[in-house]
Amino acid sequence: MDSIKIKNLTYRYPTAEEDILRNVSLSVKKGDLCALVGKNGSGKTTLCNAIRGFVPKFYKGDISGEVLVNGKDVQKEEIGSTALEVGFAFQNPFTQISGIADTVYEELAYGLENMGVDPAEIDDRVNRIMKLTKIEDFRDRNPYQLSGGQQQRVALAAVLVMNQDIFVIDEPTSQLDPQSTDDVFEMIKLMKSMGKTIVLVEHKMEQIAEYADQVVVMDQGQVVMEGTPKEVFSDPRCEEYHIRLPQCTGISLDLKKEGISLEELPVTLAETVDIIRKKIG
Amino acid sequence: MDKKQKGLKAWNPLTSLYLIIVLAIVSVLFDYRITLLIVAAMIILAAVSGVGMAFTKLWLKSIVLVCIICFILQSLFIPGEKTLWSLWIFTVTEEGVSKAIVLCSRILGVGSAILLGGKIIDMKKLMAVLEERGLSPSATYVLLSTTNIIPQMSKKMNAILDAQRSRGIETDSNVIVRAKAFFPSVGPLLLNSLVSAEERAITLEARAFSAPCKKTKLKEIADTAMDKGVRVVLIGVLILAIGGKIILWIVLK
Amino acid sequence: MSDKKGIKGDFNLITILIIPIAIAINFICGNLVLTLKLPLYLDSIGTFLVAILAGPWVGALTGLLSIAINSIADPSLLPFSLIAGVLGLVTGILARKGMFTKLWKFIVSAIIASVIAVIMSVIVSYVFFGGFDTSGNSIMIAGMISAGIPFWPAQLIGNFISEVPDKFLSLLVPFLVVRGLSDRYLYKFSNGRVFIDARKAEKAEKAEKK
Repeated sequence: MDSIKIKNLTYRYPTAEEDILRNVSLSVKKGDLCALVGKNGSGKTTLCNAIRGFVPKFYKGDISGEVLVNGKDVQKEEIGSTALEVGFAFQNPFTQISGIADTVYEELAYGLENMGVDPAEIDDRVNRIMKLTKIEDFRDRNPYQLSGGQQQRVALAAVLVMNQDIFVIDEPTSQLDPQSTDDVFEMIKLMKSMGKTIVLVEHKMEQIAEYADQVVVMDQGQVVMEGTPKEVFSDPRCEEYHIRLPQCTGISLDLKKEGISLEELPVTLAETVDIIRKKIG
Repeated sequence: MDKKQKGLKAWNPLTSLYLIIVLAIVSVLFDYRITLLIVAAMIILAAVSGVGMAFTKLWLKSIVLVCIICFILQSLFIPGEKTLWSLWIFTVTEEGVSKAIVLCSRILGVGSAILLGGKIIDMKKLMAVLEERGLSPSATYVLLSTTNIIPQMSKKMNAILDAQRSRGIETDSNVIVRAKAFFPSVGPLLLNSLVSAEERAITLEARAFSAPCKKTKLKEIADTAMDKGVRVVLIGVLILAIGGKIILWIVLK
Repeated sequence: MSDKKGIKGDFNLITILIIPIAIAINFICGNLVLTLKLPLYLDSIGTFLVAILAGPWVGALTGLLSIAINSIADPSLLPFSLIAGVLGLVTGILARKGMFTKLWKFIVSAIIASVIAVIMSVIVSYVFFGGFDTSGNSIMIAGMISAGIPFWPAQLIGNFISEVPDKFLSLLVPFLVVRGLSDRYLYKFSNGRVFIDARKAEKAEKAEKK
């Protein structure tokens, strides 16, 4: 079953001269991690906003086409109701602090309070998610006083605790250091293991190759390539769209040029090791 | 986390708010003698609630100071017929003094009440109670986030100021130079914070801020029978005070 | 898309979020002025900014709240929240009428706001403090009165000196900031249209001249 189904979506920001999304069609299966990649300005963030209903509800502008989330037409739903279907996190850790909670614990509870969850259950869920996401150490700290990486983990946990089926995560690691990036990907892995459907915008191709079930390449507001990481990264058109390949894929391609060709093009580290072992074998 | 609160702080914040309002109104209705009594009561209430020192210090620094200045200026510069005392160009008249007393008594009464309210009422709890009684969650957000945002932005402002200083913009030179330092410091702060408001709107939507659900509160604030009783008594006191004032007024006429 | 009209339309989520920021801006600019020891207040820049962007009701509320919150620490400020509220309201109305789109219009608006500020300060300071509040200009007014200037003219002059330059500068900052905002950002505020349309008109005019 498809959690997200987008049909012929075209959209233009209010005041803009041209369309930012052009005739985009896309489906994401339940439980899959779909990675959106592409240059800056190719429409990835706008597409995320469309799935969550911020486009056009929050940003206004002209839209045509359809976005179905769990079978419901997002454009026909209230902007507040979609919060119960789709979890949403983005780039900037600092602005993802609600600004109203004094502690990380309260920060996590805030979304649940807004959803009208019973206080005893809130306590239960917040404690469980803090444990799972390993942020218990910050429990009583002021969210504003955390580092960017810690804030981003709190932001993700605050969305995860709301327990929607679908998560849209827009460049969560682009402002983070390598250690925090790893921590964030641990959390994304956790979400996946919980069976969540995830749409992720990310530039770190190694991680995409490892975790994504589906890779969607966008260019100038259109979906130009789509498939498994393997299908997409082994496609020569990647160069045309300036898609950086995972390091091991890049190395393997270089090796091929040098005359050392591997049986198949690997995209993850484990796979590369495997293929090379077999070859040496 | 929940330390045993003392005195008024243990009350439901709504009850404390009623008390503050009643104290302020009553002190405005009657003359300075009643006001002085009320203010004395406030100091005792603050002390019972464990904020006696903090309240008194702030009270002396703000309200009392304002009253003194106001009193001196009033009595010196309000013209009148009956001169009480005169030196060089300064003349203190009876009219001036009596007007000063009325004004200062009001400032003292209302001012002290607000100050006491600020010390004993936990804004967060008060907003939670008011929200339960139908206040819009947006109002709660505005009031509570303001207190959180100010220290954050102050920190950023200081960082910008330091950067300005290290770039050689002097912040302790003459007025013109200092004024020139103001605009480049404020400009980026304003633009940044405006842009961050947009992202924060997204954050709130992501946290189901406008979801069509009845919201709950993690900490429920007890509204005891005593609280309810106190509130009824306070309303009674207010009605009596207003009634008494009207009767006094008619009798004096 | 039907844009909601009236007060409700003015208070969308982003304007609600900008109110605390505006109050913080008021507070921080007020403090910065103290740090830089400038002879001004500049504590309503945030209020004017939201009023210009989001209209009279949001402006009035921000002005009122801003001073009201400060008065928890210094209750003698409370009556002045009235002035801040009215100035927020007036600025919002002026902005909606397109009075902040050009420099000459800005100057007219600043004069209007200053006149209202002077009149209201005189009234509020007289009603609540008998004409002598705790701000620095009371000393000045007192000085003028002892020098023989009658009570009301002294009040007017004193408040004129303290209010007019302050309101001019406080309005100038948001006027310049709004010029630096993108159309896309402005669009989200109820007054944004006014500025976007003015920009378009200006562009068209320039194109015609060429």
